[in-house]
Amino acid sequence: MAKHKLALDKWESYVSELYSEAELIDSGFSTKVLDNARQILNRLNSHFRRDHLFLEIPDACPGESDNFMFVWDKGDNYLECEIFGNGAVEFFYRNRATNEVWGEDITVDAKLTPAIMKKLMLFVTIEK
Amino acid sequence: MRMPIGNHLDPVDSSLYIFRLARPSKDFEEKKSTLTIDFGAFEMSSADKEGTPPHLSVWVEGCTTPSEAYAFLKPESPNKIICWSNVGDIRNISNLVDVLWINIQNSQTGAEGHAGITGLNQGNKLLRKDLRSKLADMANANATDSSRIHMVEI
Repeated sequence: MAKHKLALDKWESYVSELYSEAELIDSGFSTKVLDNARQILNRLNSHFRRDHLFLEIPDACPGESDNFMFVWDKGDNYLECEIFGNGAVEFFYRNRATNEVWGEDITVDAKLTPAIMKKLMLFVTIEK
Repeated sequence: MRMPIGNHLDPVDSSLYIFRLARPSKDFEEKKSTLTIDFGAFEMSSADKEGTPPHLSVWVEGCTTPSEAYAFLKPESPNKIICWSNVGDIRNISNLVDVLWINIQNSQTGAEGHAGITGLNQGNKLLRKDLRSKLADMANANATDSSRIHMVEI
């Protein structure tokens, strides 16, 4: 899927450029948190690719507390994955229509739970 | 003409607009038509959390210009996107949340327009993230307001 490949390339280019900024003392984020963000997104992508599915490449941005945020946003569904330099990973979901909120914390190396995968499925497309 | 400022910890008038400066996200350029903003823009910094009361620093329109607020950031900060929110709309998010004048001891131009959103660090983590994402939604909704600028002019 060419669109997915383009989005993935864009992500790689974006995060690569952030590494030099992370080296600055006052950047607010470390190379470690960038490593962690790359790792978690690679894991998520690989998981869905095994089933011939494409996870949308989320919007992304570093924070100023050695954190990094991925956001999937489609219609009423909002899902964020916040990654920290210490390896903590926090998922948060909000449905704008129903006000449902959900969250789960894991670590960057931990197994992805069924509840996390269920929320991510909201942002998956089928290979054609 | 500058607007009159409030006393320290007075509520900011609900009719006013506040802004916060944010870093553009990865897809900002691509989604410029919808003006996607940095969704981490409403995360309290360590200094914000240690404030009395803890607050998310914001600036009041009419008291501080975006360029003046930018001058308070580190040199060449990437935080150039201006996230606008109406004070009354912020209060409507939750009765835990308020917008107060937070006077700071600083002679720099624009310092008088400093305020803070309070109540964002109450409750459990889910509630905090819920409030944060709602503030981001609100700023996104205002991102197409053509009466305001959306990028700091330096």
